[in-house]
Amino acid sequence: MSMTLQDIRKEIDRLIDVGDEKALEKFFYERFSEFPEDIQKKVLFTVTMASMQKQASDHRIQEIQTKGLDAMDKLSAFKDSLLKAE
Amino acid sequence: MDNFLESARGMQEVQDAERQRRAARHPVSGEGLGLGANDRSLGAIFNDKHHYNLFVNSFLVERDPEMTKDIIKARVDKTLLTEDQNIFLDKARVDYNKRIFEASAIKNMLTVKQVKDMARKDARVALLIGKVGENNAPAFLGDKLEECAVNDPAGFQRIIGSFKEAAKIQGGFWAKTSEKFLQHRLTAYGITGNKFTEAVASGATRESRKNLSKLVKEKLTGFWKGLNTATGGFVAFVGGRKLLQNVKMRNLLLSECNNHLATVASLLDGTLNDDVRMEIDNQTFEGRRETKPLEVLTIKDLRTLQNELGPDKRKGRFETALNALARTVDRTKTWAGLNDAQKQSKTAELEGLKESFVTSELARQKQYKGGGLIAELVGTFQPTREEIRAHLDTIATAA
Repeated sequence: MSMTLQDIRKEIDRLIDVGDEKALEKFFYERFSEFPEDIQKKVLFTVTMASMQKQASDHRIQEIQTKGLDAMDKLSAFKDSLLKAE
Repeated sequence: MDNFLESARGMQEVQDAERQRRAARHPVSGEGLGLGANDRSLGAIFNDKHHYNLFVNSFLVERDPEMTKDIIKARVDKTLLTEDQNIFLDKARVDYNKRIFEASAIKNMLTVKQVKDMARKDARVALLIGKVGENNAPAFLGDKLEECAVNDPAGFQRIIGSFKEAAKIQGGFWAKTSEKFLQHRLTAYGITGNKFTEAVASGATRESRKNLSKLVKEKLTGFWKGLNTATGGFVAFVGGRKLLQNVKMRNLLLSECNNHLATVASLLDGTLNDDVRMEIDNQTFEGRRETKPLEVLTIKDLRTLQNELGPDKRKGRFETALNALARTVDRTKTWAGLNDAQKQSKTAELEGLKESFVTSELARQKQYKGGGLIAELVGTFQPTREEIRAHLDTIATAA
């Protein structure tokens, strides 16, 4: 049986009022098939794009980490050569 | 003379259109593709229900609600548009076409293979895609891209950024650094915690966020300087030179080297903290998240926002606006206190008030954006323009 938009909003409000974040999150995934098609599209879009952005962001951070470690190695080697020159 | 001017203007338009077609580049690959089927005339946009709704009710309203209201009125009254209105419409048309072109370019990248790849990387995505079916998923996602491109330009830029990043990853660009490895290396360098930890230690308050943002900005500047120093010749140039024999110079270089090492290490240590990562991401990624009056960080914030945007509060805000309008007729009366004739005299203003009120309510809904996945999901269930408009009609009639 499918839920109407009003049913969904009511349930979201109830879970927010109760303050149960986990149950709220579960609601979007477990009742997804009961949502009207346009809402399914919106939810799928939101979750998928958020996931893609998270992955892109993680990779960007990794790039910073890789470049940073490389720079530290170079700076450290340079520092050693300065110390040896003393 | 008139013919000459007309012809010159016509030529200019042709040249402009040609320039726009040439300027349209694929948002991810940068390849010059031209607008193609997305080079829509105003007539084509106005005669297509889907594009009319996106262009007029979202794109134009976002740019200039007052001008849009006047244009809609002129079209309803079948009166000629002013020169300013025509210029505004044409400029908006060009930008709108480019935005839709970018959305369709991204849409074309959403293949079943791409969707499968997304599902493989995230269990929640896999769960939802499993429910709609892998073959239907690209169309489901594609349908929402145009809406996102028009209604949330910053969010759309972040999506483009993600696709660019994904393209790099598929090209085998990455040398993966594990957090454990990074932590080990930092410990080896004697780095054990830094100012970032202090900046976020007091919890996620607006003040701590502001401090963190400032600190990350500062550290990022130092970080890139450190990288330039390490890779951009400073080390290579000075290494082995006679300069090193000068004690003063050597000490100066040592001190600078230590400073760079500390700054780079400090930022790297920060990348191990989720709040810092988010802020670095915010400052280095396209489509920066906007600062919002109310940031949704917890379920309590979400409750406050839901309450703020709910029908009761909306009614209160609209009644205040209605009463202000009533005072332009009779300073002593509220809207409910006006007689029918007095209300009738304000029909046009009431119409304008409703339109601008709907726009500001929709703008308020954007507070769900950037508040985390749950907040964004709750945001997808907010009332539409039509629903808000219907609510306002009921309030105005009942009063």
